[in-house]
Amino acid sequence: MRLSRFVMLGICAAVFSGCGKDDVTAPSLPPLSQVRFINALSDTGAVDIHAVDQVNLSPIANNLPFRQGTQYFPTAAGVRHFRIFLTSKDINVTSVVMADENITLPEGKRLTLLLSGSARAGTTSLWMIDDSADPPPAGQVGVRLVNAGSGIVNGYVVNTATTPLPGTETFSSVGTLTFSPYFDRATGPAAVRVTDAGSTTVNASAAGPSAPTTLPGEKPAAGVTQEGTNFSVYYFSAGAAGSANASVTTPGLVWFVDRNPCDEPAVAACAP
Amino acid sequence: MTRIFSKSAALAFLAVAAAGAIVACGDDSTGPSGTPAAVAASVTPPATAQVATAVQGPAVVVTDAGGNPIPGVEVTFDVAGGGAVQYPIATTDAQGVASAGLWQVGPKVGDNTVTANVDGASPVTFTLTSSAGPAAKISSQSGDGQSGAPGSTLPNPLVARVVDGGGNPKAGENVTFAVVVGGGSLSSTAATTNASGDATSGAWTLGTGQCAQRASATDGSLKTFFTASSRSSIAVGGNAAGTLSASDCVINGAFTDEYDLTTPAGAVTVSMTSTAPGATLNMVTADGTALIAQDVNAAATFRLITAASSKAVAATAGAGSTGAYTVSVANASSDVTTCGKVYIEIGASTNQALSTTDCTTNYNPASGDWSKSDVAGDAFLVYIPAGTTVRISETAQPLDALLSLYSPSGSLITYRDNGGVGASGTESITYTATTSGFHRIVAGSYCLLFEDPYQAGCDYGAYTLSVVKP
Repeated sequence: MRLSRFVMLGICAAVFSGCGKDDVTAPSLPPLSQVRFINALSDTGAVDIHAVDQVNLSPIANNLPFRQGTQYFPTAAGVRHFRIFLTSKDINVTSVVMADENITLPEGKRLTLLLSGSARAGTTSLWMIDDSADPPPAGQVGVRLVNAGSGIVNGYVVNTATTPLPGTETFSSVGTLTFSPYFDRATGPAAVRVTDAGSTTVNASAAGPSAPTTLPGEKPAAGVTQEGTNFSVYYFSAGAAGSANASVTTPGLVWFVDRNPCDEPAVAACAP
Repeated sequence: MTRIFSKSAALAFLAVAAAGAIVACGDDSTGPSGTPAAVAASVTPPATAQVATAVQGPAVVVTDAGGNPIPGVEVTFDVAGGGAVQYPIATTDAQGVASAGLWQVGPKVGDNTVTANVDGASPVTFTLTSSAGPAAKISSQSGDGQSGAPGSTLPNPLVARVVDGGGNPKAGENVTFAVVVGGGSLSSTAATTNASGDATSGAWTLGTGQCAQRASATDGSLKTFFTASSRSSIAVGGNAAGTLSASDCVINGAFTDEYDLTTPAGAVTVSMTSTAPGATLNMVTADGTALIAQDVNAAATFRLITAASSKAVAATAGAGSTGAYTVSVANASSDVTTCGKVYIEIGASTNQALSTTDCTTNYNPASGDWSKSDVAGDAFLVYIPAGTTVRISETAQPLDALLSLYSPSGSLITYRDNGGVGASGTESITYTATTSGFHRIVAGSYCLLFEDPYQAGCDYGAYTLSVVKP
């Protein structure tokens, strides 16, 4: 081989090797948010919700019934593509897309995608609700009311689900698909009762979950008895007549944990 | 070996390869197509809508300084006015457009806004003015609770307020007023709500009877009531006499005279005599809950354990019948020792004692057929409206309390004996009535189930009974 060919080979090798990076290879994650689904669709059965743009770092809901929610999933932020299907073993049913939406998920947030609207009317849609609030003050928990039902409602935070309504509501005139600010109160038994705005007839009541007892060294879990917890209490309509939810005959409230006490900034009891 | 490349060709190849390699080292992205300079409306929401309804929300187009649409720009939609948008954050598409999706209008009448914000550009604000929704509630705003002599004209008109589901005043609603109890009249009965949602009646002239006279205000299927008292009063220790006749208030088809009565905490006896066929004595609380409802049959006396409260006594004839009557009210002993009917008011508390002089019954709450031992206990009647929750407590020290509750039809609803034999303390029953009516409370003692109450050593003693709304 002539010298010029060795030179040419060496130059090519040097050029291509220059493309490599000098640092150590490490896995990198895209910007993330935490996303969960909650199903407020009162006129049909359970649903599946899938991100159809990518599999990894995507939230998912399979067989999600009315009034229930998923956990928060670490989710790649940015514009994401979701589709909603009826849960079924019949391919002809479950292949029908109930809704198809591109949603921008901001980075570093804890988010709920609330499934709302009407399956029968073809108005099923996801609504984004930001759950990433500051922690409540020391010794307190945060509670807010989300109206995933119909009408305009008032909410009362009281000690038990049967405590008589106080004179003034805690959450005033919360309209459909809107939510109140967080209300901070001392840790301890707590319940939310909901009336139609302007009425004292209680539509629904539900006590909040107490934090489970922890073993020594175990980190505290969420609960109305554990400081640093934030809750969203969702108000749901009764199930629509003639639908798969027809057996749900009255409005209801469900407590969802928005913030665990050991989420950053964590409460003191979370310190190792 | 055959020479394939000339030197010049080799150098050219090297140059091309190096250039290609350098190009290959570059970033694959195309880079930003421009810096946002302007945000403009692409879709403008309607200018007006009813409160708490969903409308198409705004969309904006983001452009650079040259007016070119920019894809991939994050737009934040901030909502004011109590509503929400479907997508609080959205990203511009290939045409530079980002949409907030649907806009749920806030629950209060007034301005709602959505502001589209993009870094580096001036925000754009969309405003929607919301109006009241459908009428959802009518209530008495003023004029309720007046009083006057039978046949007099009340000083203030009746004002009914109509609001939507969010409590927003509803103007332009047609409200109809009518007298429903007492036989009086209104000088005008039709009115339209103003901007405050208020409709005002004409003057209310009371009927000639003495009772809680009532008028209604109606807007479609919505209705509210006003009450005006034309009663005279009767004092504890006093009496009233009158005649039930066609000039009286007609309540449930019967001629009725009512009297205001204020009682202290304790006990009273209420007596009535009447010549009217089918005469009955009724006593109700200020909110209309029954306390006593009994046939008189010419003459009768009843005892009531009372709370300190205002109430009303009513003398009522049978449907269509008339006749004279006398009603008297007197202080009485609280101690229940006989088998006569003793009524107790919700909100009252009474100190009692179980003794050999009490009424004896023959019951066993557990099986209902205990027959070996008579049981001494005190029986009370309390009227519980359907849906009302009461807490009944028997506190006994050192008595071992046994507390039972029976339905208006006489069947056992529940009993409490949580302490077991010999245990003293408080037994409580919290109960929500499924049927309106007089429920029977029996306050007794556990030992009485198993021992002869007339033998020495049986568990007689003092206790306190209370009936409250928890």
